[in-house]
Amino acid sequence: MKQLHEILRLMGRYRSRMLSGAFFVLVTNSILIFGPRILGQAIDDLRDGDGLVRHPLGWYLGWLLAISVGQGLARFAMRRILIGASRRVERDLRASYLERLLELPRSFFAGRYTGDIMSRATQDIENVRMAAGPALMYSLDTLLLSGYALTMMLWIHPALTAIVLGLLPLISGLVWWLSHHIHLATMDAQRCFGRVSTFVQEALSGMRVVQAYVREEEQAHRFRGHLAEYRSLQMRLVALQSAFRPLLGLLFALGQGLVLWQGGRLIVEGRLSLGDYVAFSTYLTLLSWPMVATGWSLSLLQRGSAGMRRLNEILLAASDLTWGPERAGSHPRLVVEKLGFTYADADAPALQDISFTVEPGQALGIVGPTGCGKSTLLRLLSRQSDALEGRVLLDGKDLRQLEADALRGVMSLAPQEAFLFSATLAENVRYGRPDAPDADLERAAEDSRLAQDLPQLPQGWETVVGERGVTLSGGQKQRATIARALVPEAPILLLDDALSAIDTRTEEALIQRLRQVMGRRSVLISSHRLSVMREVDWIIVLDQGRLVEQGTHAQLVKQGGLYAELWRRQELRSSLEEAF
Amino acid sequence: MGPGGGGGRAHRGVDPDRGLDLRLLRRLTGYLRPHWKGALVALVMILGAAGLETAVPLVTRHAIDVNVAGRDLDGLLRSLMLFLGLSTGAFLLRCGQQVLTGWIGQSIVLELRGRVFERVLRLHVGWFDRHPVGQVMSRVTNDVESLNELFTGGLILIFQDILLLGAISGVLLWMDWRLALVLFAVVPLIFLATFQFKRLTRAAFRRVRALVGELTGFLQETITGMQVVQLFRREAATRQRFARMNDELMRENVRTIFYFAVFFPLMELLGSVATAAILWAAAGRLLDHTLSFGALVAFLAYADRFFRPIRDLAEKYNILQSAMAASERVFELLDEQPALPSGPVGAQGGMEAPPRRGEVEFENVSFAYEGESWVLQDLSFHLKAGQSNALVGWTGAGKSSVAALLLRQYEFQRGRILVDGVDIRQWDVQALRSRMAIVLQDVFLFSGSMAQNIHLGRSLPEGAVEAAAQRTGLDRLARQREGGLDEAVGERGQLLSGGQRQLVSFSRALAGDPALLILDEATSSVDSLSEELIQQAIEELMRGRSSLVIAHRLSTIRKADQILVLHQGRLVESGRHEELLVKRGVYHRLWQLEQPVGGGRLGH
Ligand SMILES: Nc1ncnc2c1ncn2[C@@H]1O[C@H](COP(=O)(O)OP(=O)(O)OP(=O)(O)O)[C@@H](O)[C@H]1O
Ligand SMILES: Nc1ncnc2c1ncn2[C@@H]1O[C@H](COP(=O)(O)OP(=O)(O)OP(=O)(O)O)[C@@H](O)[C@H]1O
Ligand SMILES: [Mg+2]
Ligand SMILES: [Mg+2]
Repeated sequence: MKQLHEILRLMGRYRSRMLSGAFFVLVTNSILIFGPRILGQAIDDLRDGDGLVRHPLGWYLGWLLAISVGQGLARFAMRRILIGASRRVERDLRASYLERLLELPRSFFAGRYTGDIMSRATQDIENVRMAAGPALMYSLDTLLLSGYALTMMLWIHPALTAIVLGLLPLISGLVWWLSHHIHLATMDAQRCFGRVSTFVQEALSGMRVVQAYVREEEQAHRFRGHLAEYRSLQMRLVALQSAFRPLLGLLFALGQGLVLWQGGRLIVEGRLSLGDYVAFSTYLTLLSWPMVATGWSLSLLQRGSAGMRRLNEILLAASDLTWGPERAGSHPRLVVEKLGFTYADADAPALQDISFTVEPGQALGIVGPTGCGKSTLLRLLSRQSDALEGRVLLDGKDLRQLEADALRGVMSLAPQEAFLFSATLAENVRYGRPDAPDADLERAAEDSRLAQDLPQLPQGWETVVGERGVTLSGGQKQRATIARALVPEAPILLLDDALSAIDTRTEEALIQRLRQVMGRRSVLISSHRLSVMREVDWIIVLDQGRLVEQGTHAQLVKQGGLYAELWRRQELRSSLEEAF
Repeated sequence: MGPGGGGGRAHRGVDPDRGLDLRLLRRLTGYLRPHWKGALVALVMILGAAGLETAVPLVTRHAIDVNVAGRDLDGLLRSLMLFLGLSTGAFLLRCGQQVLTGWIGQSIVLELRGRVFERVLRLHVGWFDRHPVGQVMSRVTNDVESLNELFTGGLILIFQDILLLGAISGVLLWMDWRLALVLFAVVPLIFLATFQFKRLTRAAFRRVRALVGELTGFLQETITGMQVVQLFRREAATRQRFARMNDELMRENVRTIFYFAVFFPLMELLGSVATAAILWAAAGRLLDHTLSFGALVAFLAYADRFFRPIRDLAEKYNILQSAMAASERVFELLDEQPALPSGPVGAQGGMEAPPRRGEVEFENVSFAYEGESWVLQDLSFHLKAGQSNALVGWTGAGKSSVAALLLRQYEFQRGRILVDGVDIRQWDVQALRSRMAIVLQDVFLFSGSMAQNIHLGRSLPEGAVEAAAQRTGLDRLARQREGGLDEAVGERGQLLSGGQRQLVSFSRALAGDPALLILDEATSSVDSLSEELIQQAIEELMRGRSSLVIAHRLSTIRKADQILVLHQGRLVESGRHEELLVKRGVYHRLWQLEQPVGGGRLGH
């Protein structure tokens, strides 16, 4: 139960709060415990017939109510303080969870499912909270209450108490066993529910494909399969839970029966008063709650520690990205030395032995067949992952020595996959510099040729683009990401396959614009459209992760290698045209 | 701003204040109907258990009043056996009943979830533009789950509580009606407290629920867009925005604790008041021996049991209420009409479909996604059977929208579209779509293997997947990997490169046997060598089929039988490549831009 320890550590911040809460648990139970005693005395007094010998009836009733009020107040304080603390722990946990996620590198997310990460943030954090709040409170409550009740019972009649005590190990053992199995069943069911959610999420995100290929029935069929599995797992849980409470009730009834039998004999023999018997069995009733609560708290604690374990997989995940203290100049020289990278689980390296240099203000083209490693290279340069071999230098400083802000301030990337948030277009383009003045926004829109589309959009800049930008056309989305990369005015601009969804006219205009940008900033651009490669100063050609050629467009075409081949294919079709 | 900025925007408010809406309740209980036998058995079991449980204190009373008072130890033993027998019986009945109700609840939830999902699958694409995945998800998962609680823990147990309450009240009245009336006097106070509590917590709960929704939406979008968040150094801003929501949620949650902290002790206090009142009323009658001690003890025991179902009912009301809110959201989805009603042509049991030719005719079609912002205007063209066609135009011209209309993803406002001679509105949507295959501009891959993504669970002939992968050159790439086509691609295919994803999506379209193939920028992220190979490979495959190719690189569509040039939603030119060049219009301009202008721009 290492995780429980951890949960307690989380609560450490609220130590004084927890202590005062525990104090109120003590107060609650100390008051509560006198209730049955007074009731028993009242009954005995009434029974003794001739008037109220010890106290008037009002005295008893007054005490009963006073106890109830006192206990209520203490319980109020207890709940507020302890459950309140658990809500704070929940908030802290959620905040550190997000904080951790924000620090983790791309490689961490690549093999995971959004649904899984989400369910930890919702389900598991809730489970930890339940353990830190209600479970802890009730455990404490239970412990005190059963201690008190047993003391009172011992005081009233030790021998009768012994019977009850004899049953306790049996009950606790059973509770433990059952709650353990309930816990296991819960985990299974929850995992299955995770699969159900992931399935739904994927089906919804891929709805366009599902419908276009008429896969609705097949999806529904598979979904029903998941649901049937979920139901059978749930039923195992239901069966265990169905046994739990009634079984406790039965055991408890057994105890009551035994007390009734022995108590009855004692009363018959005149060794126990009826009032004491009533008080005794009321205390016994008080014990029934701790028995239920123990099982419940135990399963909550177990669930909480399981949740903590799952959270720790993320909270304690090692981020191999560490940042240094250095800053880079405003026009840095980019040097790449013998860079190598292999994806986790991949058999072959994605990049091997890549070296090149980009002088300030220069434009570099990156060319190569599908899957040759262009995006991987740009990812390493923008430090979403670290190179496994070799290094990247900015003004002679290793990328890893730079401050996070400094690096990201120098490099600005428009990724291959155009992702937009479901916010307005303006908010999305401003994303890298929220305080950018409108003038900069307009300029970025001009430079990326997004401006020409603005009049077409229903609310212009204020158009909400929908989840992932679904309500924009492919080219609009792509240019929005280019505009977003332009706004921060970073000295090095990285464009990954940035022209794929853009028509030739827009491309031409975009390149014209970029040419002006290029003078001011370094630009690294990967593209399958080789037309843009005529504009850059230097081209590197990758093939299967290796740098196979480099040079200017003219040199490479003359060289007759892979680049010339790629170029010829594009040019071939075009120049065939001359014949017409 | 930023992620989640629009998270709550499309959210339709559901009023949790509705309380017990009988119409909803009737609809919910409708789902119980197929299980009425089981429900009846469960009810009988509950009645049995409740009866036995109610009898137990009577046995105790008998043991004290008769056996103990009469010093009859044998009788005491007999009473004890009876006591244990009753308890065991109650135990067995309860277990059985809970398993049974559990099964019923789970089955209903399965059915409901299945139906909701099936309904969602048939909603049109435009609906999904407006409803973020996270929100729909939470209806299919969370909301249905809270209905589970209603069926397993609610509806049937409410019967029990009501019955139990009736039985106990009866016993109490029978034992001593005067004491019973004293006890009943507290009941209105309990109801008053409960309703007051409900009123206060309801508002608080609603705020909590709204905040939770906002927070999860934000988190979800942050996780999916994590790359962008990190690239643009928005960690701090994201953290701050999250912290604001997080803190507010915490405060709101703490506020609800307050109500609970007041409510539960208050209920106990009312219980004590009742006990005190009973004692007070009993005192005199004990003294003049019109009331036995055993009766008083038993009465107090019953009084305790009397409060339990009342407390439970209050809690059930809570469940019922949140279930109402949830069921409203679920039914809202179930009632969502597919905005594009399916016609009879090609449907099972409907009209017979015309032969598959892949012919398409647009007649004066006008279309706007919303309001009057026309995306397509007065568009007319004809794709002849077996012809290859190309659709070109500047970005945002409406090319993808044409494809979307053909697939019947959106309803268009004016004009007519004929597919194989039949009005598209007359077509059964699924029959229509199975004549086509499309490579969407936005590639989507499911997690799973490449092969699974190509196959999509369709009934394809043996080897179709491999053949398709070979045509696109995907198999060459896959062979470099250990698992070949069975290699997993990750969520949304993120373990593949952009071009590889596109090739998978392309192979998917080729694997079927479409009469009309629609390629929306299907090779935009693929290198020119692969592109050429693909073109050669599919040329033969496409013989005798129609195709509509949307492309920005004109060189790829030069050989098309017909080229349609779209400009701002209007058809401005159409014809063969050579004809269009002669016209010296938009197409000619586009074409010129694509031509290499010698080395003039080099050395820059
Ligand atoms: N789901 C949608 N909801 C609202 N507007 C949309 C939606 N999809 C596209 N639009 C708008 O309709 C217009 C045409 O978009 P469409 O996607 O048809 O263009 P396209 O010709 O395919 O462009 P591209 O070459 O950039 O892909 C654009 O202005 C776009 O913003
Ligand atoms: N997260 C990942 N895990 C494992 N392998 C990956 C991952 N991302 C990419 N790869 C593989 O690494 C290789 C290089 O991919 P990369 O995305 O860099 O190619 P690319 O040159 O950008 O290709 P494209 O032109 O198609 O965009 C590919 O074979 C790809 O399948
Ligand atoms: Mg790439
Ligand atoms: Mg498009």
